[in-house]
Amino acid sequence: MREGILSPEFERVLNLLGMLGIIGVILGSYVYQFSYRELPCTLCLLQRVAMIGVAIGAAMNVMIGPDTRHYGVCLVSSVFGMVVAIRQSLLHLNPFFDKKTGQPTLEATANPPFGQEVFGLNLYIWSVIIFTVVFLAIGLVQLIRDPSSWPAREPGWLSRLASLGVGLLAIVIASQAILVFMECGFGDCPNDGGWDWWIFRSSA
Amino acid sequence: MPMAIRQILDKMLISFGSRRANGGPTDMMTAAMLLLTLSCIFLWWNKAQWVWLPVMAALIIGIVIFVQDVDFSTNLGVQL
Repeated sequence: MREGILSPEFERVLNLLGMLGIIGVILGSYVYQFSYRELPCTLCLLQRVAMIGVAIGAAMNVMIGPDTRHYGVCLVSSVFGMVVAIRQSLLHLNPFFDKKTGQPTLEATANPPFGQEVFGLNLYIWSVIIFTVVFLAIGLVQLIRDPSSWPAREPGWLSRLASLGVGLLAIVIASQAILVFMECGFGDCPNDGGWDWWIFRSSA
Repeated sequence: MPMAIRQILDKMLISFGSRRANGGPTDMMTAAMLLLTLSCIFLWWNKAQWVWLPVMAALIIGIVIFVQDVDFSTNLGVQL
């Protein structure tokens, strides 16, 4: 088999960087959630599920070693996330559409965007961009990686970094699970962008 | 049992019961997140190769939630 130009060690480093990037995105969403006191909606949480799926696929590449199956986890997750993000973007595409009456209006505030903007774009638009970047990155890596070579001994520094990174990912996902439990319990998640935590409600 | 924990357990039971009364537990976002947490912990702990299974299960739960969230009778998100 023809050798690729991407060594397995470098491939693991790239996956580690990608995984850290997604951790940063999730932590950034925490900052917006708590600073603007806006609970994420159902579609927002589904996009976080997909991003975590991508991060776990990358973490498998980092911990176990690069493998096509691990990239498959990333791809399936990002397809799901992309569908959800496009759906949410289309929901807020037309500000003149009144969702209550189902009719167009002359007011641009009839269908406001959900949540705050980051650098001029809403979070679900950023989500579409992020999942597109994931597609492109995985495609490019598949083009230049070398699936035949496997490191005889993995470098110790990489192993320690991988363990630290995946440990951090586990902490972030666990915190997300606790926050989702506090927000939704076992029922529907609130979709109004308010601050109505399930766990602090007087009735279930 | 501390009162706060008991109150949380009561809320969980009432919430779960109300979902079942309305046609079954339809929103399982917490379950999806728990599956993802478990898979990442096992990956970190012993490099388990089967962690893709709970990830896929979480995505299937996500697809179920997503399909129920979309009101297919009125629109598919495209508002012209």
